[in-house]
Amino acid sequence: MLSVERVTKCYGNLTALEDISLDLAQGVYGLLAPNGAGKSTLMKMLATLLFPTKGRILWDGEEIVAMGERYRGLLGYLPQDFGYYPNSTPRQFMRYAAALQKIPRAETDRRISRLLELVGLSDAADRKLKRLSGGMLQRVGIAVAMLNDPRLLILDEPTAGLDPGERVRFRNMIHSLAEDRIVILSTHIVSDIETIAGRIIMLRDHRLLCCDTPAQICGRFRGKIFQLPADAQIMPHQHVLSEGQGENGTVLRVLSEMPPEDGVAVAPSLEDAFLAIYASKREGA
Amino acid sequence: MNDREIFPVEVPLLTEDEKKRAVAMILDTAMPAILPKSAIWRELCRTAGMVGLRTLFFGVGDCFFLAALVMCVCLFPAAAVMAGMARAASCLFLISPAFYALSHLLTLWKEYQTRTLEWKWTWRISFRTILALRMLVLGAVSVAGSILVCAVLWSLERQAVSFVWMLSVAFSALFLYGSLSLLGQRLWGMRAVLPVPLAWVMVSLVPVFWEPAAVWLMQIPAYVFLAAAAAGAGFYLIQMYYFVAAGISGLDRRLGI
Ligand SMILES: Nc1ncnc2c1ncn2[C@@H]1O[C@H](COP(=O)(O)OP(=O)(O)OP(=O)(O)O)[C@@H](O)[C@H]1O
Ligand SMILES: [Mg+2]
Repeated sequence: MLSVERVTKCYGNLTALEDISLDLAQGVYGLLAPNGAGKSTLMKMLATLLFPTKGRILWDGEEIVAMGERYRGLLGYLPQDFGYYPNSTPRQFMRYAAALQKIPRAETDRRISRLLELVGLSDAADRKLKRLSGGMLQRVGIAVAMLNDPRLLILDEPTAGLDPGERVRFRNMIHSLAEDRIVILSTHIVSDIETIAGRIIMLRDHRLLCCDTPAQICGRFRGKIFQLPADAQIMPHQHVLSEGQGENGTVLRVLSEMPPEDGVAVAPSLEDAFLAIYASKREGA
Repeated sequence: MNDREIFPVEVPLLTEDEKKRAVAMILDTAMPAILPKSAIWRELCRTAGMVGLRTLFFGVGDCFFLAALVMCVCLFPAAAVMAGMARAASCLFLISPAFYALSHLLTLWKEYQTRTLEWKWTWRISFRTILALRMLVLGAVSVAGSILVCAVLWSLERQAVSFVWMLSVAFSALFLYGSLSLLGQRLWGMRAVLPVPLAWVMVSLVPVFWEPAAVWLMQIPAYVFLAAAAAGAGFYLIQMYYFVAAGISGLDRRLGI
């Protein structure tokens, strides 16, 4: 459906992405990478806001830029840092967006009400946008991105600023949406995509590291993640991934090729995998 | 000795058909004329009918108010003072595109300020179509405004110059400015947004402050200005076509608007 073919993006001398190739079919794709890895750059190229320096992006075999309006008609995009008219209300802003998305007028109001309900904003539909909280604005953004019932939904950090209840609601919503469309969402918050993303795309050193299922990614670290008491001696070949609260006080989660002394092997979580994958980079920095 | 003698291999030349296609491809890249002319105007009309004035100017209504205010409070009184000194014609060049230029600049500035452009660029109706419709509406308002301003200045000047002459100066200024600013935007995107109006102001101020230029201006007959206005209007519509065509075909982001 959507294929990214050997795409490179440079900003002047800086190569933000290099030689990325991806084939995306229906389902949820989580784009998981640290700050500055190029997630937004990739998403902007998919949204035709930026053009690849090299390579091309195709939708059903057709170059997306050349598709023009036809492509924009099937795309829903939530920018990472979007703006709005502070004096308008969510309903007014969505009516405006609906008109520019060529949604038939007769259908607009019904669709807006349904979406506002879906993101839990029915009560705030007629309050000015400048009076809404950050999380509420983010939900307005999600609703706007879904207005045209897009076949390709690109959400750049959609869960930023959402409270836990809203996160769960968002996850359920995306899950139910993904049956017949492509959803791509970026985040740094592992738990946001652990349960809903069919595949996780990771970027490292400006290149594509993997596009695998969460189970496959975790599987690579099976038998290599151990839990140690906080006062344990850490060997040079062991990497401390995170610190947490166990039943008997603080415990460390450690990446190690060999089982450490008094270490308990634990099932690797996606967060462990994320930290392990980017650990070497952070230590090198 | 040329390459051919060193490498006496039969190099297949381009067939006539291939040549034609290559030229067409190069032309397409240089001028994104992908849609036929009538299709663009039909698309503009259809979009105008679909979105209506409210959507067209959603969120930027205050910009027009501000532009109109500047016109009424600063520029028009200044022109009236000049009219008292029988110099109104000199400032017509500056004043007739002023509302168009000011409101266009203010709306673009506001779009940037509110950071809504990333959204608008990905919505189905191309942002350029919206910009083009706004420009056409602004142009129409400016034409009507110019007639009014000319009438007032003409009566203030106690009809020292002919009304038709003043009108032709105003229209030529409006259409020339419109087509130059559109050409700039089409070719250089946002980089042309400020330089074109600034250059226009500089040039227009010459006859206001330099007597010989004003005298020379007065000697140019109306039909020259009318011809300039007609050429400007034609050029404007051609530029508008390319501007919108690039937006619909999705090539617009290369140009920054
Ligand atoms: N317009 C630009 N001009 C120059 N460099 C840019 C531009 N936009 C992004 N970059 C650089 O490209 C790299 C990738 O940026 P990008 O915004 O895609 O990262 P990201 O993964 O989305 O980060 P974050 O998690 O913070 O949102 C960064 O090093 C950034 O500094
Ligand atoms: Mg980002």
